[in-house]
Amino acid sequence: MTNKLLNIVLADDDEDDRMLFKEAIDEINIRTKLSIFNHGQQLMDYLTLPNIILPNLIFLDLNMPIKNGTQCLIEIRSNPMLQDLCVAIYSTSSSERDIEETFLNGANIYVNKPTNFSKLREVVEKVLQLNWQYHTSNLNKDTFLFRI
Amino acid sequence: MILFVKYNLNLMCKTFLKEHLDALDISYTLTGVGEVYIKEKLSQEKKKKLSDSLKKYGIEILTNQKLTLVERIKNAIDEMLKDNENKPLKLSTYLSDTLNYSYTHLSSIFSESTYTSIENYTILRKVDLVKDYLCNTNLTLTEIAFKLNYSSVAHLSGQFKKTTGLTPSSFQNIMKKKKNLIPNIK
Amino acid sequence: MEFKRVHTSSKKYIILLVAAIVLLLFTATIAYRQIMRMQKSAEMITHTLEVYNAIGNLSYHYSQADSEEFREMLLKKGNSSVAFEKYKLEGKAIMDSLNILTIDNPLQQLRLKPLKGLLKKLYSELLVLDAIVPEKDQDSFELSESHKSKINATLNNILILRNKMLLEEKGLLQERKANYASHKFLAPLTSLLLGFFALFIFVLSFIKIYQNKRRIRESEAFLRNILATTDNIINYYEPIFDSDNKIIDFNIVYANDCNRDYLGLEPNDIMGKSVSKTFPFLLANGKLEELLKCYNEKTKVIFDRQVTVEDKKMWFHSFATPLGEGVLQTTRNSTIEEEAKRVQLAFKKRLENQNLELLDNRAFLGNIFKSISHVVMHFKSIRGEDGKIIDFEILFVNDRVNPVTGDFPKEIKNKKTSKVYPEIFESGVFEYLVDVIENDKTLEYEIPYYENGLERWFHSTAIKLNNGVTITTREITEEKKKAHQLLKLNEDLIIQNSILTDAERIAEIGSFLWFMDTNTSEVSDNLYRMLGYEPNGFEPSLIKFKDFIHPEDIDLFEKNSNESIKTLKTNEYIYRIITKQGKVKHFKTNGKFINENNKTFMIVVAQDVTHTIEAEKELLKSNLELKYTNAELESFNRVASHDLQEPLRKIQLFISRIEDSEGKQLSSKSSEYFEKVTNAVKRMQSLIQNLLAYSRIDSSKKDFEKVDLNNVLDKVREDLTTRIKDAEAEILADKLPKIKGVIFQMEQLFTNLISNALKFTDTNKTPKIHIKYEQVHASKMPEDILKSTKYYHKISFIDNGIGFDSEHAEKIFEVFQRLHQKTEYSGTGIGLAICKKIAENHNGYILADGTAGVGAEFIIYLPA
Repeated sequence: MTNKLLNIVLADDDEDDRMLFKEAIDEINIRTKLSIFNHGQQLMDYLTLPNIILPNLIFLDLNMPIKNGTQCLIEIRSNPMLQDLCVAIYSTSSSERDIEETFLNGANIYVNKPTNFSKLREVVEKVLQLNWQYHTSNLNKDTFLFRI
Repeated sequence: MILFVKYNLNLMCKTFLKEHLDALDISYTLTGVGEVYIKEKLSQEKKKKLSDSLKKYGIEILTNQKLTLVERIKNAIDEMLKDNENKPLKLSTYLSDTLNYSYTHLSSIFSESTYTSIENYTILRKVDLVKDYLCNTNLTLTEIAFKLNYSSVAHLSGQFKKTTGLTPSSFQNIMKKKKNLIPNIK
Repeated sequence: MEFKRVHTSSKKYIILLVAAIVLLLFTATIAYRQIMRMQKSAEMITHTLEVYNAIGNLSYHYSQADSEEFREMLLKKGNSSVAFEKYKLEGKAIMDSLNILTIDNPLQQLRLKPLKGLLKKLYSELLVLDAIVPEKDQDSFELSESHKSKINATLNNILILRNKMLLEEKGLLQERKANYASHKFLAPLTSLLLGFFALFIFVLSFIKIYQNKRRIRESEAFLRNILATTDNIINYYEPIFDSDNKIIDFNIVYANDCNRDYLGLEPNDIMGKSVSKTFPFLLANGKLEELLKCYNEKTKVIFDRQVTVEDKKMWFHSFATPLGEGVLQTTRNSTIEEEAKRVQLAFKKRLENQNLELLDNRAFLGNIFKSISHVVMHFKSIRGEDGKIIDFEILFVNDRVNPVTGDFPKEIKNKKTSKVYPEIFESGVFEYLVDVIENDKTLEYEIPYYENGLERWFHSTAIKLNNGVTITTREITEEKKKAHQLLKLNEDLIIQNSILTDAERIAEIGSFLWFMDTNTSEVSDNLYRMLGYEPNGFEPSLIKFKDFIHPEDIDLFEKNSNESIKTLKTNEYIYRIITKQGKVKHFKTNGKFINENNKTFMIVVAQDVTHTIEAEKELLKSNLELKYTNAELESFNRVASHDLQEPLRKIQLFISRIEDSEGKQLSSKSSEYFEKVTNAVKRMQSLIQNLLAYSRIDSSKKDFEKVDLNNVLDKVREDLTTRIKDAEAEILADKLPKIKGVIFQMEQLFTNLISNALKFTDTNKTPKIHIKYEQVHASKMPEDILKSTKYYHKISFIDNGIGFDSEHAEKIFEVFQRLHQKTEYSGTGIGLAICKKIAENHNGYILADGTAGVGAEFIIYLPA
């Protein structure tokens, strides 16, 4: 494999979800480095550290204590250093309103937390692939909107 | 004030390439599919200069053989999709004809380095173009379907939905709302 | 003037002349030839006679030979030969002359030859005879006798020939005589006839010419008469050429008397003079060019000009016509016409102005009719056979009628009152109107009019106009009411005054008057009571009143009262007082400054609002509680949407994880249990989601926007593409309306109904869903529905699925009501309940109808 390591970040307050996510990532045939945060504030603190290597992709849960996903998203999009980051929302909610709202706030991908592990693996893989394509091909980032 | 602009990435890249190659006084020929044919032998120093000056525009000089081929495949697919006149017969035939490799070879090289298949990439690229048309033109779905060689609007909608998880209209809706949001933010 | 030119038709005369000359020449020639022929006939006769004569001479000549004397002479000796020679010459001369005479007659010539021969023979025989000596012997005698017979025979031959010639000539003579005779008769006759003919032609020509001349003279006289009597100036001009043969001027050849009449120019004086000198204005106006044009192009030219003669303005209308070698100009004095035209124009203008004024008046009148609040009507009476008025025709009515009766003027105009207002025959109005017309009266009457159970009163004035009546009506319901009220008010006032005191007590209102100039006060009984005193329990004054104010509110009170006194305006405000018994009460006061007879006094009304304030406090508290409840509800929604679902999802995830990793080791029973767990969880999840959707349909209408249901349907079809495809269903839809509503909800409504139809399909039939639309009047909707608007959008979803028994039609909209076994058709039993809630949230209704085995129909009514 000649491809670079993908730098992925997950912010989720649910321990089980974090665990399953990590298991899923590990089973995917893409070289990744996963950093996990327990809530939004933790993520934002990390992202605004000086001299860090910015992740290629952020998975963001919406319902989190202290700082929720939407707040994080808005902060990321209004920070000139971070605004080009690819953000995938990773949430239980399937309400159209939530989806539209996060897209309007600048999310690139909306992922419904699957109810099945193999599905979870597929979904995560697809997100990684999409993200890869958007980073390596001439795709228009302005219209980077997917719902999985 | 908001300015709405439309740009041609392909042309933009070519223009940058030309400018920088000219600036470094290198004689060259652009072959069109992400290839620059350099007539002389480049010194390491010049090569680095060129590479540095192009980097900030996101133009990379590919050193890896496989990656070069992958880029050429992508460029060929782009050319094919943008060429409205000559709707080619079949992707595999087209690619093997254009790049002079067997399709199996191309396919395996492509999958190896991109985590996806040529077919999937083509679909993604096509959907990307559909998105582009939906946002930046007044073309109807029927017209877009015709332009991109879809057999029907239903086919286009189906593929769009399958790929993006959104219907073309809800995508368009979100993009419209997003566009309207911009002046409020600033 | 040579008017003959006008009449000249010379060709005819030339033809006549030529004909006459030809005729004369012809007659003369005929006559000449006739005479010549006669002459010739005469000559021919003479000729014949000459021949005759010559033949006579000849016969004489030979007859000489026959005679004895001659013979004797011949026989005489001596001179016999001389006599014979003489005889011979004689004969020859006769023959010659005969030869010449008959030269034109070949027949005679032919005869002359043998004659000549015979003569020669005669001569020779005669010679022989001469030679015989006359002896008195027998022999000689016999000899001479034989000779003599010979000569006689010759002579006889000659005689025969002569006779023949004579006969010939006789015939010719006869013929020529006849010829002559005929010529003699014809020649004079023809001459005579021709002479008569020529005479006739001349006479004819003369008559014709004479007639023409007379006609010309008549027309000339006629023309002269016209020229003399016409009131047109008629002039004839001939061009004057310069050396270059260019026309520089015209010469007046003729001018009639009108020149004198109009222009004061003596015709005889101007004739022969040039146009430019006589009519200088012609040059000035450029009309000379017109004349030139007329002359050069041989066209008729018409022009008008205005001339000032002896300070009089005159208009002339001229025609110039090319005539012969000049131009005939006829000029009409059109002054009167022009004047008339001007007068007419002025008249027309005045008429137009009047018309405009009339229109203005009409518009003005129309405006009056429009702007006045009276209903104005004009009825024309319709009379029966006995001359009595039996009905009216509405000729005019203004727009005001609409708010009163709901009629539109256009609709009721020209209709009969019996059709439009049949009630006037019952209310007695008809009799009033008849009375007005028949007795030429002006009547006023008041009538009630009932509409929707409301009584409205109208006051009408009816005035006769021609054969009709003009009715002006005004609504006096308010006036009537007011008058009524006033009456009642007066009565009430007395009662009220008596109950006011009681009322004050009951309403816990007290009042006091403060006379500013005297600084005295009057306090109502109840105010004393409100302050804990009996009426008149203390001496009222402003300062005393202040003692009751709650110490914490004294500043507020003073601030307000000071401001009121300064500005003479009062504010409503609330403050606390402490009663004599020490009870705290809330007073709300409001006052008014009244200026009467230059005396200012203030009325202050104070109300004990203690109860109200306490109630308000109570309300505020319950509002706050409600807010908490709402927040709780919201957090419940959150819990339901997120927290409740989370564990379920976890269960699913971990089960799938176990199945993935340990699936193969599990017993079949365990696998089955796992599947049952999965199904139960799935069902739980969809229940929660649906309940959530149900609870999210809030009834607040702030989200209402314009929704194109066609777009909604498109979106839903797009969302359900796979399911529609899988079911191979056909969806047919009418063009749907645009409504006011919530897009999300409408999408959900359509999604649920279409999903429902796709779910309950009959496996034996191709699923068909027909979405029908029509706008219906409220009256066409089921009776048991409460309608809020006149029109509704009716949207029906009709399918051909398994349907249901229509007795369940209402039940199916209830939450968790399912008509089918859980396993048979998936579903939570909330979908249709959601539909119902959405429809009701949009002030609409949803109804269901179905027949088991045939299909179902869901009807949505939304306000149009």
